[in-house]
Amino acid sequence: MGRINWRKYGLLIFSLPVVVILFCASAFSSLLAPYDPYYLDVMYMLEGPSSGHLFGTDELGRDVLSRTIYASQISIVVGLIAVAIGMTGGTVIGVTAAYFGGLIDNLLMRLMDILFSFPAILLAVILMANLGTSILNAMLAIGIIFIPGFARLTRAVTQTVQRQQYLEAAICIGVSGPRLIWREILPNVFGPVVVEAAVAFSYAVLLESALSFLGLGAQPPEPSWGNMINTGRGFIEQAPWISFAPGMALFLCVFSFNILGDGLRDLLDPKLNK
Amino acid sequence: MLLSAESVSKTFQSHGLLGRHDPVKALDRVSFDLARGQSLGVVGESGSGKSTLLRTILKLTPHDSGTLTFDGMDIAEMRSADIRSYRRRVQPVFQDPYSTFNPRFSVGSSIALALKINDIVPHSQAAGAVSELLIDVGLNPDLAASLPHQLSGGQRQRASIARALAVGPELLLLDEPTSALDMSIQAQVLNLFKTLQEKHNFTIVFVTHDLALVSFMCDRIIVMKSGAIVEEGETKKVIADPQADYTRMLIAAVPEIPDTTTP
Amino acid sequence: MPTIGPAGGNVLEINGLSIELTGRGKTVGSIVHDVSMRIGHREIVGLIGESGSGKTIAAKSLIGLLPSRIRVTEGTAMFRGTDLFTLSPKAIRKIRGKDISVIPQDALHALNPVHRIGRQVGEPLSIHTDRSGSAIRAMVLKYLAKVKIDNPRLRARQYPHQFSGGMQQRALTAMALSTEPSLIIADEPTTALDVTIQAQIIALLKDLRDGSEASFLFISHDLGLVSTLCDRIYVMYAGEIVESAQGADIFSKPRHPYTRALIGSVPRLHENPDTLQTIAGQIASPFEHDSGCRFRARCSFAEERCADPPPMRNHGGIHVSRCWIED
Repeated sequence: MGRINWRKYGLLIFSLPVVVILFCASAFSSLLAPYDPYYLDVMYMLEGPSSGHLFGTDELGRDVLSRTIYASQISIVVGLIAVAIGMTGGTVIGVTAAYFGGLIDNLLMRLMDILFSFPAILLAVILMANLGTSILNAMLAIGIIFIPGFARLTRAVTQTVQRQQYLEAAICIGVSGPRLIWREILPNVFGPVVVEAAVAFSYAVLLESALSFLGLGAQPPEPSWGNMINTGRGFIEQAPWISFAPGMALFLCVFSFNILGDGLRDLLDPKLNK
Repeated sequence: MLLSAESVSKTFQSHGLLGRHDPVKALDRVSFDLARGQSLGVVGESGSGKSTLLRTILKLTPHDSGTLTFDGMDIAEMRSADIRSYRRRVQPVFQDPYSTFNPRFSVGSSIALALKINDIVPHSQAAGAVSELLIDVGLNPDLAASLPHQLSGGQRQRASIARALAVGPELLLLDEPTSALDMSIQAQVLNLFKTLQEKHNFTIVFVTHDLALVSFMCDRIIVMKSGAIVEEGETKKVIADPQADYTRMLIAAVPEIPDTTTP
Repeated sequence: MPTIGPAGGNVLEINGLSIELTGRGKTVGSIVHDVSMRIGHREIVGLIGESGSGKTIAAKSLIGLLPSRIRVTEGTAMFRGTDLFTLSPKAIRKIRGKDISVIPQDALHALNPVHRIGRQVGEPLSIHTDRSGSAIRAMVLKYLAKVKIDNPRLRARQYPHQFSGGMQQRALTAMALSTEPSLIIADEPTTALDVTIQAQIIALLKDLRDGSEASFLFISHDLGLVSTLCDRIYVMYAGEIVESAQGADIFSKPRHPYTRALIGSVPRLHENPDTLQTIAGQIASPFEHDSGCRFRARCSFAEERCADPPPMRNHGGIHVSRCWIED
């Protein structure tokens, strides 16, 4: 215990196991869940936590724990795809804007400003209303919401790199165009983007839950943390455990990814400042 | 003449919050000639335009008017094919050893990039060529695998010289290459420049604020102030008998170290 | 005000100072070793060294600004009858900025861009004295004039970005002088400045020394500057003082091989050698030092006995060097 560099790795050490557990839960749901999430056990509706059902059952007799575990699939997948969309789109836009500068920079960033000025939930709802409610569209909508954030970040990092001497040195030895971006700019953009991606992931999960809470995401009987919390609202006095497990899971997921983001920042940044 | 400047000017517009500030004349009708194999010292204080001059020669910043000619070609008129070959023939060594290499790649990899981009050697021989270059600048070839932050300032500066040499340039543009280094390291790097120049017959433009360095390194000198040349000539003559007031002021400001009397 | 110092008039006496890098309670590296220095009343003492010499750390130790894990392990620093190293942080804070002040290296970053110059220059006074606001303002104007800033009344109301680099450095000097300290530590105060401005600042420091009661510790890597300005000079290498003498003697009669090589490595305006003198090898890291001479790996005169700690040889008067070679 004494040999670990807590300052550098502490946050990672705490968050990584939780993140791994979450990913395992979604990948191996069928192995981990004690029950089939759709199985209606009419004998045990609205039962509190017991040895048979660790987190109780819901209004249709389904095991809350199993549903929570299966619901992680949706959250994780939506999170990953949405972040991938945001990261890729945002990086392309941000680096292009900074690389070309001038009119192109202005145009692209004003576009980003427009997107940015919408509150995320509102934008998500508008997009979903237009695209239709499905998980795929949820991924797309959330991904689009993330693009401006990544664009601003990558643009700023690119501008910093452009001021560095090694970029000018590269130009002087003959590196140009795509190769310049690929070799000199992108590797330096990578670090901050990964950190932002971890935090964006947690926000994506939250957004997806909000959308399905509003009825716009995963549709019943498919379990998602958001719609479970929503259903649980109606039973909050009689059976508070219905909301509790998914709420807890959501909290853990968002929290651990945020910490992961911080931990990654501690890991990646000091190297650059050496 | 390898390099000629004819009335080169450059003005920077700075944009303040409430409209434009007064334009800054970074270069004001600069003219000089540099023959092959000669070394030219460009001396001035901050705001003199000496760094801007280098950047226009390197085509990192375009000049507004006047002509810069390299080996008979007007560098403003160059097409992209000419530019590529121009970049091989003219190489910089910059001041800051900290940011002169991409921190993500080993110095060997960055040097090898110079070789690859310009098809200097086939891929299989790149590592060997990098080793030779490092040895030429007095570095242990094993350092090729090091990341920039693992090297000292002096080592990094030598590595950046190796990178400049990789493409086989004829003209070296040195922008305060030793300002960020300790005195004893500076001496090593300056000696290295002299050795390399003798060996390869480089033409050198050496930009610095330090007159003593120019005295050591350069045959000829131009003194710049506010973008214009106030004096030029043979280094020894200018320092011994300066004509311009500003040159006299610069010389007077250099703190002289008393001579050593014991052997 | 004249200091009430020990008889003999030394403002500062450092004896046997050692500063080490610690990890988990034990010593991991030696940053400064067995440094002894004195600064007399109204003297300008120069401390020359390159990177890794320990000069800045040694100076910082006097005012309690050592980074974490770097500690004074031995030695005393007598200032006005008290050992600075035995003072509590609270006591050091009373001295820092008042009796010992600092002119920092990078003027641009030492000044807060959002506060007016007058207020910043007056800050040490408002912290360390209980003079009234108007009294402080009057002193600020007095010291701005003393550092030859024209039109002090106008300038005091301006912001740092409205000052040139040289003027910023003067303002910092005024700040350091305002509390009338006994000792001013100037850490490379002209590094970021143009040569002509640098010459002006040096001239200013000379005038101030003559016109005030303060002593100066001038830390620099620039031999030329130190030779123009300093009465006495200490040369540091790898944490140790390797030579000390009257200013002129260091340059006319350098004794230590490092000092000689250093002087030989600087290009001169009116000389044209083919090559400059260089020092082979690289400075060792703080983790690699042993008890022998720390320069011997790079010294062209090194002998076997250099593996033992070299004595301080006296070369007449106050000129000493840490070396085995009798030369």
